[in-house]
Amino acid sequence: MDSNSLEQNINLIRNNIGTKNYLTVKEFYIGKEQPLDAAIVFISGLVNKEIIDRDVLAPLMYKVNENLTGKANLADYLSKTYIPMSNTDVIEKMDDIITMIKRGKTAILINGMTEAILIDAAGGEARSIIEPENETTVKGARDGFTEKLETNISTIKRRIKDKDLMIETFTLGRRTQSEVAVFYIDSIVDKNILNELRKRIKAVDIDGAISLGMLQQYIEDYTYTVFPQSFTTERPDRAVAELLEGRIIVIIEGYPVAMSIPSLFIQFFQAVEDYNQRTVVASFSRILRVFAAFIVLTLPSIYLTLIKYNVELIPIKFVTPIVQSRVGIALTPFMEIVLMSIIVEFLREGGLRLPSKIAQTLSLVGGIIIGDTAIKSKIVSPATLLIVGVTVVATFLIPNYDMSLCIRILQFPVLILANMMGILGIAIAWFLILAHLSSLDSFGVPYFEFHLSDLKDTFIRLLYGK
Amino acid sequence: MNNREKILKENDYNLTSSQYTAVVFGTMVGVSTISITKGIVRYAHQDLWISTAVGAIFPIYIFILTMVIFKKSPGENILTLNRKYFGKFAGGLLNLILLVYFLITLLIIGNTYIDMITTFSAGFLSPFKVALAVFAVSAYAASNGLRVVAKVSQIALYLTFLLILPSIMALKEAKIINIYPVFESGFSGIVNGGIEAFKQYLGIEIIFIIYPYLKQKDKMAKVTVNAILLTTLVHVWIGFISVYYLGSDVILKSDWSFLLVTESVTISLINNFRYIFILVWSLIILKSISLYYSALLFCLKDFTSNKFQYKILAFVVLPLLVLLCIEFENIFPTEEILNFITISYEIYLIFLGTLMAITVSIKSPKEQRKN
Repeated sequence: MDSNSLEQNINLIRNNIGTKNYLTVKEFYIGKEQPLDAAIVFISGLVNKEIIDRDVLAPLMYKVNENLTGKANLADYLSKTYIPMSNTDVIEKMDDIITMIKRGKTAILINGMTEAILIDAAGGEARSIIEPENETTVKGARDGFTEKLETNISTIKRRIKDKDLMIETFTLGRRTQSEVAVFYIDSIVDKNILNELRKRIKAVDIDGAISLGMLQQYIEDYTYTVFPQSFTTERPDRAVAELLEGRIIVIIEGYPVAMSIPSLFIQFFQAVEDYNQRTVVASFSRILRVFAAFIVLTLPSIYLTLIKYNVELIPIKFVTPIVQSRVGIALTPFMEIVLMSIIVEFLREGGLRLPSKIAQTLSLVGGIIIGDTAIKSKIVSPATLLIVGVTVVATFLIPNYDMSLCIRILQFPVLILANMMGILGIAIAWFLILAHLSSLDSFGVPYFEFHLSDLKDTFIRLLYGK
Repeated sequence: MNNREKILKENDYNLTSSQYTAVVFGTMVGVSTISITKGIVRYAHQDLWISTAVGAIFPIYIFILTMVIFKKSPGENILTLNRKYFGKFAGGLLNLILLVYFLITLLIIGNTYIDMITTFSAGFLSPFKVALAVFAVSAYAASNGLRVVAKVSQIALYLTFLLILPSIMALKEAKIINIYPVFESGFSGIVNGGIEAFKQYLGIEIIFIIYPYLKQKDKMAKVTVNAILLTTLVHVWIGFISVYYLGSDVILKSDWSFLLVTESVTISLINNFRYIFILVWSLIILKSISLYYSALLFCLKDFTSNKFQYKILAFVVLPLLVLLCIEFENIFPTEEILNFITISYEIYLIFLGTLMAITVSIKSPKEQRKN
C-alpha cells in the first residue's frame, strides 16, 4: 500500500470495489495505553460473520493487553499471536488486497501500516453437493459439481492425491472477474496443448463470463461446425477420468460444469456407466449408442427414399400395409416426416424449461393427443409416425446432450438431401459428415480418428488389464 | 507457429500406416471393382479369377519402382523429382501428362458412377445433378487435405470388406461346374486376362505422389504390400465368386456382374441387398473420387508453383470437371478410345516410374557424394 493512513486506504478500497457495494467496514481499537486505529473490511454475503466476530474481532479487541505502538512487523505479530486461524496472510500490494476482498477474503488494516492482514473466512450461502441431474448413474458416485469453485477443487483433489495434479487459476471477464481453474496432471499432460489453452484463455477479453458454454466458443477453432468441440460434464468422477487420460479440465467459478480439453468425437458416446458395468454389457451399450446415432441420421431418410423413389425394394408384405396406411394422406412423405420431426422438436424445446408438473401435460398433449389426432385427421400415416417415434427414442441414447442436439439437427439436412437425390443424397450426406468430422481437430488433436491400439476402448470396452 | 499448428504438424500432416494402406487400397478398389470381370472374361473365361491375381504384377512392379525412388529421395515425390532431374520443361510435361491422366480417371469414375446410380436406384436424377453433387462433395473432402481423405478411406476400407463379406452366402447356391475345367483358357488366355486386369489395379500410381507423407518411413514396404495384398484379395474373391455363382457366359453379358451376385443375399426387411450395396458402394466411390481429386490437386499445385491453396484449386476445377463429365460421351464416344487411353497410361506409368527409378539410381549417389 502506498499510504499508511487508515482512512485513505479504506477510501481506496471502497472506490475500487464500488461505493455502492455491500462493503462492510468496521473500525476498532487494538491494544492498551495507546490503542491503534484498525478496520476490518469484507464484502457482506461472501464471508462467515460468525468466524469474523469470534476468531478475529474478539481476540483483537479484548485480548490484546499490551501497547503495540512502534512494534516491528506488527501485522505478522498480530496474526501469529492473536488470530487463531489457519489461513492468514500478510500482503502489501493494494491491487492484490482488493482482488482478494472481491473473492471473499477479509482484510484487516491498521493505521500507520502499509500492509494488510488477509483472513480466509469465506462463507455465504451456496448450493450443496447433489447428484447431477443430467448425468445420472446406477453404480457410480453420486456427487456433482457445484457453483462454488472451492468445493469443485476439493472434490477433484479428494480423488487425485498425486503431487503432479496442478491447478492454475485465471481471471475472466472485465466486470465479472470470475475465477477460472485449469486442472491437469503435469507429468502426463501435453505441454503444447496446455500452453495453447493458457494463451487462449488469457486472450479472451469480455465483460463477463456468462457461462462455460461461452468460454468454450471463445477458445474453440471451428466456429461454424455443429459438432461440440469440447466435452462437458457435471460429474467429478468423469472429470477425474479425463484428467487421468492426460486431458485438461477447466471449471469457471459459478458454474457446476467442467470442460475437458482436448475432446474427441467418440468421447461423446461414452458414459460413466461403461466403466462400472461388465465388459460385455458395457460394450453392448456402446454399440447400441452408435447404432442409435446412425438411426437418428438415416432411418427417416431411408424410409423416405424407399416410399418415394424405390418402392420396388420394399417387400410385398410391407408394401400393402404401408400403401393402405397412406390412402387419403395429402402431404408428401417428406413433408410428413419434417412436420412430425418439427413437432417433436417443439415438444423437446418446450419441455426443457417447463416445471415438471406442466411438462406432464405437455407430454400428454404432445404424445397422445397430437400423435393420435394427426393420424386420425390423415395428416400423417402411422408408419411415418412410427419412424419418427423410433428416431426420437434413439436420440435419447446419446449420453451427451450437446452431441444429441447436434445429431438431431443433422437429420434435417440428411432428410433434405434424401428428398432431393434419393439414395445418392443419403450417401452424399454421410460422406460429407465423415469428411467434415475428419477435418476437425480439438487443439490440434484430430477430432475423429481411429487407431488400432485405441479400439479396445472405443466402440467396445475390453477387459481391464488386457 | 502457434502451439496448435505445432501439434498439427506433429500429428496431422503425415499419414499413419493404416491410413496410408487405406489410401493405396482405396485408389485401386472403387467404381470398376464390381465390374472387374467384364474385360477379363473375354480372355480367361472361367479362369478369370486367376487372371485377377496375375494382374497384381502391375502394382507390384510400380511398388518396386517406388521403393527404389523412395530409398534415394524419401522426402520428394515424383512431381518434384521430375522437375529436379528433367528440368522445368520436360519435367513439367511429364507432370502435365500425369495431371491429365488423373483428370481423365476422375471423369471415367464420375461417368461410370452416374451410369450406375441412374440405372439402379436414382433414374430420376439428371447426369448434371449427380456430377455436381458427387464432385462438389469430393472437392470439399480433397480441399481439406490428404489426411481427411485418408481417414474417410479408412472407413471405406472397412465398409468394402463388410459389403463383400455377405457375398459368401452366394457360395451355397453356386455351381462347381461354373469354374471347371480350371486352366482351360490356357497360359496365354490367363496372361492376356492378367494384362486386361492391370487396369483394375490402376490407382496404385498414387504412391508416386504420396510416399513422402507416410509418418513411419521404415514401414513403407510393409504398408504398401499390405494394401496390394488386400486389393488382390478383394479382386480375386470378386472374380472367383462372380464366376462360381454366375458362370462365365452370364458375366459376358453383364456390366456389373458382382451386383448380380449380391442379389443372392436376402435381408428380411428389404427385398434385396442391392439397396444397401449401392448406398454403401456410393460412399466407397465418393472416397475414390476424393482420392483422385487429391492427386489432381497435388499436380495442379505443382503446376501453379504452389501459389494457390488446395481449397481454391479444388473449387476452381470443379465446374470444369462437372462440365467435362456431362459431356463425357461426346469427348470419349467409344469404349475403344477409352481402352486405348487406359492402356497408354498404363504404359506411361510404367515408363515414368522406370525412368525415374533409373535416374535417381544414377544421379542420386553422385549428389550425395557432393554433399
